[in-house]
Amino acid sequence: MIRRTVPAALVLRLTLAIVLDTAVQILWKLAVTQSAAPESIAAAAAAASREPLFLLVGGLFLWQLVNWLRVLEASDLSYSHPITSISFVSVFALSVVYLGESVDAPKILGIALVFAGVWFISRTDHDSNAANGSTR
Amino acid sequence: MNQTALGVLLVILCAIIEGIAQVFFKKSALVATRKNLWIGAGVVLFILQALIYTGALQFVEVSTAFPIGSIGFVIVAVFSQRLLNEPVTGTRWIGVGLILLGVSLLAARA
Repeated sequence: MIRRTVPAALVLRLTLAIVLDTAVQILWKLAVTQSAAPESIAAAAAAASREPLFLLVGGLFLWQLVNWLRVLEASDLSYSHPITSISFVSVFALSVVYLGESVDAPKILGIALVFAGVWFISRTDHDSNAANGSTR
Repeated sequence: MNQTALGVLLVILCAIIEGIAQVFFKKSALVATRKNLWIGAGVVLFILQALIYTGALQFVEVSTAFPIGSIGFVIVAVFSQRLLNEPVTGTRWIGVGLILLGVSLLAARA
């Protein structure tokens, strides 16, 4: 299969997807640690609806969903989904900087493997439906 | 079945549910009508898997659940190939495999 140039808009949307995924993970963890342990799921949902941080996470989730749907309009799921694994690297990097998480050889190897995997994914055609001339 | 095994199975179930949700989201991009049905179904599944994952963490540590959950990358690739007829080539499988290993190393003992 011929690999075509990836549109700049798709690159930007994938970058946004990774940024939003990172933000959601970090802020959700922050929101959970700052709130009291709920007695039930209903109590947790009620508490979350009043907390600004949870509301922010909810807003980011919605933005993430809308952006992700736009990504999937322009690319294969098996192309874009693995690329978002870069958010694992960004979450780890922020954890190192702000939470003092340690960096060891396995973590460095993990980062290298993720980037290597993303590089292999990027060598494939990003949208098989467009390549096949499929109509929606 | 002990609690750890149950927790592991629940995490794998979450990865499968998320994979199905992702397929639904992609289907919404491929169809001309009823897009919102596919999107709505995907959102419901995402919420369901989040609730199940929360329950799974009662039985396994996050540092155990996270690497296991990374199997979701393989599941999405398989579902993409089987359900969406996407061409998951050998190169793409190598990428998925490397990412799976990398995420497992990053997430272990997180």
